[in-house]
Amino acid sequence: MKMLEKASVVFLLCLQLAGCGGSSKGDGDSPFPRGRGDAGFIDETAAAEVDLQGHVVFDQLVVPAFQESVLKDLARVERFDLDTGTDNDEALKGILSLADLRAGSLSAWLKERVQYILAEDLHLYRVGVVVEKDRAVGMLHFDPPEDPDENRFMMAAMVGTALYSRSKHIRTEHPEVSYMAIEVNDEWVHANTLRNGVMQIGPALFNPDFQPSPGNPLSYANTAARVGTLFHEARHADGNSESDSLGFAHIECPANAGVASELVGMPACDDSSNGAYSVGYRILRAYVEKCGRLCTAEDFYVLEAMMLDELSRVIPRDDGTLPELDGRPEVGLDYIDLTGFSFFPVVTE
Amino acid sequence: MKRALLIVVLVVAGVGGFLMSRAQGGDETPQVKDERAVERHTGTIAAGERRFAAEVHLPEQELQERFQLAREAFRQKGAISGASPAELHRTPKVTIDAARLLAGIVALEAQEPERAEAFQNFYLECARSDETITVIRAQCLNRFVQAGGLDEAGMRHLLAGFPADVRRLFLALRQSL
Repeated sequence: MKMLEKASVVFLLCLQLAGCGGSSKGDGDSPFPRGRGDAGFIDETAAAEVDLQGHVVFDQLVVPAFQESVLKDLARVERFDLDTGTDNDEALKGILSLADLRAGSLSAWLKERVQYILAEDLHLYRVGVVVEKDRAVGMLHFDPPEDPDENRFMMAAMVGTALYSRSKHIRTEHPEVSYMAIEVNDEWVHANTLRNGVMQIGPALFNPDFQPSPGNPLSYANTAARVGTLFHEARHADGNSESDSLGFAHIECPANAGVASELVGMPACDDSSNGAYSVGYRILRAYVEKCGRLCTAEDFYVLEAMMLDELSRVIPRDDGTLPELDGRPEVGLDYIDLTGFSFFPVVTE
Repeated sequence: MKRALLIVVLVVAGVGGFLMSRAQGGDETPQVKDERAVERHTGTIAAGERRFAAEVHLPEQELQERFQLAREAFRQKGAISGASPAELHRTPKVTIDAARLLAGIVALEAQEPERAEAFQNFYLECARSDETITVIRAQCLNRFVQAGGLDEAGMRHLLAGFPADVRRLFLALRQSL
């Protein structure tokens, strides 16, 4: 139940990331240490080891401009190694359980966790409740939000994790329920495992108000911020119930030393060393350390702030520990072939 | 089938409630302490980089106005505390705006080397202020240490006067590079 309560808090909330730091060991007299960034650029025409762009399926409700932006970001993920030669490399590899930080490895990591990208209005999607015993699927829509502007702050959310987690909870009281599915482009995507790949993206991911480079939507810095968000959210597709790490749920920021006072009480912290905020921090740190000429001065300071903001939410526990949780995804529920099933709409009062 | 329908109804109620947890406080907008300050510094941001690149030797009054604009943007902790959970899952806009203004101050500093002390005082004031957004405090502190050329002993002595949350973020900035 504790896991469920935790799961109820934050899977569907999302985060933005960013940032990197300067140091006195930076670029001599320049007040804007740019890190040991690439002097060049990301060659988006180079061959990619892993096809991330072709793997992703956008639901038809996702705004075309958003699709284009995400694809551009993924093209960069496919081609941009994140090794920096600093201690960030080992930390990031450890968190992601990767042997290296080559673009191909990072792309593969993301590919394992994200496939279907939905729009922010979840109530527009048909959700199916599979009851194998009756060979039936009850179809329903969630209620629209009371406030129509509610989704304006959404960047991204791993809704597939929420559906899977909720299914597990419901089964404890109603074992007849198998799991839930969601209809994407007229096809049912089964949320029978944590790795169902269903993610929502929202307008805040592309809102200039929340971007390092508001005047340049496709800038390196904006890609860095968005990619940090995608990796952060994808982390929520990891973990298992046995280790109490299912979905790497966030916790409420405690009123402890080390916690920024403005965050206390918000469901926006992690108390593990390899949770979603740690992923976001390390990903962003890599992008910022490689800023070089790809970042303007403003980009640099904004990304630095965003990165620190991410780190500020990684909080040691009361006993001072910051455990590393087991990120292996649990096996999940058996896939059910819905051929021949009855599909009926559920009318709720 | 009836039993399945009953179960589905229960599932809907449960899942709807579960997913509605997203909506907790989500319709609140952050309350910025000084709306005029937001408008002013937003305008500055829009013109900022190009403007800073062209200016040297600002009149003292104008320099102080720049400091004040940045100061007001930095002191937005209350706006963050009052924001909705949905908004707080990403870096708040006020933090982004504040960082952008800090970049502008740093750019100005590069053009005004003879006023280094004034900038140092500004960074230290920013870092010490309990009203400043915590992330920005760490950035200001880092800039103070960078510009001041403090050695390790000096830095340790300085850090002793800062709270744990600021120290932690500052030390993260000192890593690598």
